[in-house]
Amino acid sequence: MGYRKKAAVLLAATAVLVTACSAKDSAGPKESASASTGPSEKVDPFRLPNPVELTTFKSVTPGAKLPEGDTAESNQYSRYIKDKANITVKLLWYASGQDYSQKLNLAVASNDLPDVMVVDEGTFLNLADAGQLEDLTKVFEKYASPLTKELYASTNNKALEKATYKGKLMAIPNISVQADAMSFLWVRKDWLDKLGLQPPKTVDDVTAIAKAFVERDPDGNGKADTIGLTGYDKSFDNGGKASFHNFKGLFEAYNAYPTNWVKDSSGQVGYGSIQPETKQALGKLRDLYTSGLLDKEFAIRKDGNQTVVGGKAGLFFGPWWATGVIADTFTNDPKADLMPYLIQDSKGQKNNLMVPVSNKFIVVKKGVKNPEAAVVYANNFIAAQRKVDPDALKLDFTIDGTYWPIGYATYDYADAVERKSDMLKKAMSGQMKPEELTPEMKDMFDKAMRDKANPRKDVKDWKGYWGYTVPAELLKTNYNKVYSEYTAVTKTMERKWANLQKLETETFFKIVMGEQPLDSFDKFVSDWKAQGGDEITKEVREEISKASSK
Amino acid sequence: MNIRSYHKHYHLMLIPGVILLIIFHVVPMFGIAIAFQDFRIGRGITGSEWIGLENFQYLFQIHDSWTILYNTVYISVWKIAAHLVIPLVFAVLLNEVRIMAVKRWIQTVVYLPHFLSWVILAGVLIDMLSLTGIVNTFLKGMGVKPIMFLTSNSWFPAIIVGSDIWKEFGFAAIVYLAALAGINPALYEAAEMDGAGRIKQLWYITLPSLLPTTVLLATLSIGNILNAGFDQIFNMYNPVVYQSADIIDTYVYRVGLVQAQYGFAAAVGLLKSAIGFILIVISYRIAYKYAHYRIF
Repeated sequence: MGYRKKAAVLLAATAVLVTACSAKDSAGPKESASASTGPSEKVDPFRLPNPVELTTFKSVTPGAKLPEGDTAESNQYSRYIKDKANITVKLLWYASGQDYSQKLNLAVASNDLPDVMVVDEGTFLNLADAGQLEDLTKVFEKYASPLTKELYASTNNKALEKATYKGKLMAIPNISVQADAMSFLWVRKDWLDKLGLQPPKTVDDVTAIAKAFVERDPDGNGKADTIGLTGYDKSFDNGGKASFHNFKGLFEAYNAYPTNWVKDSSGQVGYGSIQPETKQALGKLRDLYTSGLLDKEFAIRKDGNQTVVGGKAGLFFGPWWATGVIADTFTNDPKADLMPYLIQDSKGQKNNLMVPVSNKFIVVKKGVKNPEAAVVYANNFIAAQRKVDPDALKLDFTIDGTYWPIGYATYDYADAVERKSDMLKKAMSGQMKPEELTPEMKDMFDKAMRDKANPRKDVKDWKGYWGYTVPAELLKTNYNKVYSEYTAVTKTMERKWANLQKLETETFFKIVMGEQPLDSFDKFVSDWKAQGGDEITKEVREEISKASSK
Repeated sequence: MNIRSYHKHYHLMLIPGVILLIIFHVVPMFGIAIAFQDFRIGRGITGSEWIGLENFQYLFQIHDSWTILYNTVYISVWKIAAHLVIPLVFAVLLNEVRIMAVKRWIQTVVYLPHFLSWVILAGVLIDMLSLTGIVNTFLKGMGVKPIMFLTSNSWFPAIIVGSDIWKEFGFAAIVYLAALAGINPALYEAAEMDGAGRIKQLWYITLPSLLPTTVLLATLSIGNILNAGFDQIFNMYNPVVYQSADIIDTYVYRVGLVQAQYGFAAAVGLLKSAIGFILIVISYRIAYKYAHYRIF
């Protein structure tokens, strides 16, 4: 009988253990080793004297292809860095998308850090706060190349400020290209012409075009199977960067900036999602949805591109670099012609919520022997990406950039797209000789020339330059720049943000899909405030005033 | 044979299992500590601040907690009930099929979905249930207005339970089929001699013989009452149906992993385990008291 009892206890124990949460054990902060760089004065910013090996993990674009025999760890980019910088990067693991952020979070939580990695702002601040990062102030001073420094200067030092924690440079920040913030309305121009419609300027025009696209059979197949405006299940996620099929462009036409901390009408910083402008925009989306002009199934779509590429939709919000989707669309249907437009607010002004100057940070684990390797790596990476190193031209840039040895991020002039499109325009109109172009622009110019001779014949050529023509021109028009005032995480946010966010997305979807009246927005606002929103707003304002008095 | 040495044998065989259990389930238990901490990434368990029951208190403050608990139990109870009854009925019916080839064929066909992951099946289901999917095309043919199944709070739980049954009932029936195969044929022969027909045989022999298995499965499943099926719901839900579909596990995933609130997520998980533990003890008692069934 005794054995029976024991076994029963064991079974019960198993049951509870199986259902128990398993949390990773975690060791305390590691001892820091000294990381002096020595007194030697003259250094080569592009090459380390002795070979250095670093460990990392990285996020890779799902399904990105590599040539036969190459791997995520060993490929043209890693060989290039090895050659140039004398740095070998060992990849501990790699993953894509959400899998990556989960694995990264777990690794960080269990203190299982690689020597270097690219992280977002929240993780960077957390790591810096926990004292786990190496101070890069000195090595950056010493090793940053002139081009690297010039790029940072183009941000008025805002980028480096973002990476500075308690007066020390704790990371190498990326530099976002501001053009990435602009949300264009992409419209099937061939459908517009066929139905005899004018290009859109205001939200009313968008409604009229969506109505025509749904009701007047623009694809001429005799069936009522076309969608008005597209959306997908993350359409309300509204970061600084414009993404495909979200409603950023439409919100902006109402001067609304949900999910961001912006200055409200009184000049105070407040949360965009609870402002009256957001309610107005939601009301419009709701009208679009209930009258069938917004994709009926947007809430369950994981990917909105299929509707465009498949020729079912001709109206979507997206970034200037939508050329990939467009190319896929006209490969399917050679008549397809998508053109970008900017949607104005009621005062005739285009508003644009800008991207944070930096949102990715190369961090170095405390105690790493050669922290300067991160700077030398960045120098090389930037020189190659900007194609100022002639050897970099031998690289095949169609191979996905996420295969660079350390995580991928953009480092460029804040106004890079405008600069490049100007150069391209001058070269194409003969004002500038092709020989005077930078290697990067020469490459683009050649693509443009080949495409001009044979329009849209080679999709690669077309994709390589077209974004710098029509959409980039629109970027040069005057628009109202709105900045996110706060992008980090406050104390109360950590605890309560998940619930507030749930409340927000749930309410927005239900309002737009007609499950709740528009006025339930007011209840949402009071709930949001009561469930921690007011507290968080206070904290955010304090942090901002602290930062400005720094 | 000496009874003691007989037992030793069994105990020796337990060793590998126990070792695995310790490594993968006992050792990580210490991580539960973070449920009582303001757990900071990077500072680790030793470096984070202890906050007592604050995580639990917050859990009960959130208005959504009750919705989530309700959804979990609601979906789970329906699943458990259906998982007990449907495979049983199916197994009994299949047992009556006398042509071996047909029986095997049916069995194989109903097995199949069990081996597909929810990632794949959810994709298939979302396609089928969309406005232009096969179900709505059929409804349209019948003159019914198309239904947005996956964004409807009234349809969603039914779809979750229904699709889970469809995926698993074939595989779950295996246990019953095994139990059916274990029934002594002499019982049926004797019953036939006494003039019992098919129905009477079913009622007096087959069903009572299946009872212990059913009770065992019911007992075990009650311990899982708070597992309403993360994979499935996670792959099929969307913000519109949070109200009826958000369960403890999906919530922990969003709060814990996506928002990196490990302490809070651990607290929710710990509470879930504690309730599961209590339920399994109770159900074990009940099974003994009313069905005289003991696992050991």
